[in-house]
Amino acid sequence: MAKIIVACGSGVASSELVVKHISDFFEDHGITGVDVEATDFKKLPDILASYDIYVWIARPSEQIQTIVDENNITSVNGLPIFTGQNPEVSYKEIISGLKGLSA
Amino acid sequence: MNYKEMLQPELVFLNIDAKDRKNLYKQIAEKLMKLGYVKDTYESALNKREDEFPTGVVSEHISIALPHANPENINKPFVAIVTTKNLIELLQMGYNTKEETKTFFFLGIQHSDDQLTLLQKFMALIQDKDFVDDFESITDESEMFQYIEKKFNE
Repeated sequence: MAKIIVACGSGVASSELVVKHISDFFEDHGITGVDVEATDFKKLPDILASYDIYVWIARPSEQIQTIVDENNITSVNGLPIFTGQNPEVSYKEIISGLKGLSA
Repeated sequence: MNYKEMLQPELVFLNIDAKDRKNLYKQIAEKLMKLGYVKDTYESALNKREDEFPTGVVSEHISIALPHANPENINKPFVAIVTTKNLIELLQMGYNTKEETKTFFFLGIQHSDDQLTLLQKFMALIQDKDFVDDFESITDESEMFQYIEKKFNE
């Protein structure tokens, strides 16, 4: 199963909201078999490597960026989803990231 | 708790005279503590969080900030509507670029879908030009409470 992690500073407010939006988007578009989870920046470095797509709301630190690069994780700007301003841009990147996995 | 109960008439503070962000957060933290919503650790947690992970959000119509601290620093969920007399400088969430704002929605969020709905509601409102125009024209705190309450119920 493809795995998406959404991370903000605290893991309560913003990331949970973005997870909800992404899950709704998948449901509306009949996309199944994708696991979407929220976390905070404290836990992120330890778990990030096991995910396929990383949606950031807080700016990735150097440490995070290194993990992303080394593990070939698709990194997507989640702010448009969070604010609702042109979220299509982020969804497109997520979809193409998912397509890259199945190819 | 339903997110609509997070908004209370005592949680609207308009035209606060603050010289900078830290001064504003100090004033609001004091008010929230007196009202019993937050613990004494709240102010420092709020600043720490803002330094590490800025909470400014810019829409086409308005710049806002959503200051919040981790759940362990609050006693009960709340949303405080705050405007300042002068522009306050802080950074935008995710991009960490400079932003100036007079509008702050302090979120006391614990884990619940209802509270996420609240955040979602605010995001929709700041993209609604009519809302922004109304919001910026209201100077009376009880009128503001009634207006936001009405918007939450729409």
